[in-house]
Amino acid sequence: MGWVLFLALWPSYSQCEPYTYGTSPNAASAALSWSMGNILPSGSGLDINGLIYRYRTVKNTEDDMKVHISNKNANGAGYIFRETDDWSGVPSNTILKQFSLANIPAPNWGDGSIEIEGQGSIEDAVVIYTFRMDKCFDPQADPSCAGYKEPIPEIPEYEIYDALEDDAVVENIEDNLNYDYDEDETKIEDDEEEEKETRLELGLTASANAMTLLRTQGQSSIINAMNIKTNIDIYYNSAINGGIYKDTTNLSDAEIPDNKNALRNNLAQQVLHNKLVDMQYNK
Amino acid sequence: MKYLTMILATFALPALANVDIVGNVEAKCVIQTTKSGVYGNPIASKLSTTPADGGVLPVIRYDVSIADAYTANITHPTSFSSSPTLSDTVAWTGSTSVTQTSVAGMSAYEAAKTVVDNTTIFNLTLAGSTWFSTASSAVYGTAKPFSGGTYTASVVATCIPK
Repeated sequence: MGWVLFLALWPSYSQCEPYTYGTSPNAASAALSWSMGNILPSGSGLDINGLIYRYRTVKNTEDDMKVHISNKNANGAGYIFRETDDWSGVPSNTILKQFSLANIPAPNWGDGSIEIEGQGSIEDAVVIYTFRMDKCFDPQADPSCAGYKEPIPEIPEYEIYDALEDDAVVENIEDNLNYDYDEDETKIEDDEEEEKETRLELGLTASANAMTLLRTQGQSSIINAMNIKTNIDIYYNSAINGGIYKDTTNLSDAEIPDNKNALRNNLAQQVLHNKLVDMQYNK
Repeated sequence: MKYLTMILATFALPALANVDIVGNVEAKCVIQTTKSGVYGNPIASKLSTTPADGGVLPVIRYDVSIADAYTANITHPTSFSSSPTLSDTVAWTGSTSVTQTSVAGMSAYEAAKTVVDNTTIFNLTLAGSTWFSTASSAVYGTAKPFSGGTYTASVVATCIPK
């Protein structure tokens, strides 16, 4: 029973895999020497766990030739990785090698290169690094990392101002605390305070009057608007009775004689008309 | 006292047991197909894996963990394993060569290979991986067109202990 419970609860104790894996681009794509900073992703917690290279030699079989693939040690002399292929006395061919490395931290890797010793050349060189990135290298980088501690925000320190310790305030504090009281134990204000209160009351009164004036004007405007609406509603609310509305003006059939007073004018109009018609026929 | 006698008699019986001895031997020579081949059909009567003919060369990888213990025997095809019915003879040619190595010295395998009939034999003198590719071509009859259909042939690769 205990084992069953243990197995059931086991996943809750396991941590998430903090590693992500990847491969670099071809380090030798542009040249036979390279800087690791240009091909590896930036950030801490990066380890190199493998290296793959491939190239093709171009040489005469009888020639001596060695090819060195290496990375300098960034933290000292020598190399952190170095492999030599001896092509002496063998014909050209393509070589492919892969190496598993024990997660060597990326900062330890110096510049890389392919060096040729002897007669011959290489082409189509490919050098690829495989890496592992530990996202929990800094446990505070992710809340899911083991060892993560909830960050405590920095509380800014403020200087508390105590007015009673301010000399300027203390000097201006009224020393005379002997107030006068009447028989009802009410403090008797001095004349200066009463005067101040009076001024305040006057101010309030003026303000109230101004509000009253404004309120009156507002009421007048509202009444005018209501009147305008009432006046125009008469037209909106008027109804026209149904039925037939006959014309009230009648013109009886008769010949309307010409105005004799305008006879001269009529004749002039006729003459002008005839002239215009004749002009069309060039008469 | 009676019971004691019986127990002693039991211990006096001869003991018999079968003890197994188990040994696991990992393969020291592994053959992997890196790439399958494809026949191109440059002319009606010819099938060829040569890239110039539109074909793809098959690639086989030998992984050997013991030096100088095996030979790689690779036989290029001399018949179709499946094809439409053929009424005439097919002329087969082929060859196998080293295309890639994991050790520079393996490059010498190519010059040292021997060919017996359709089989090419490489002496695997170094430990590591070696990639071989096999070219194969088939010409039907006397320039007779191949019938339409799918043609399949096999390259046989074996690892022979010396």
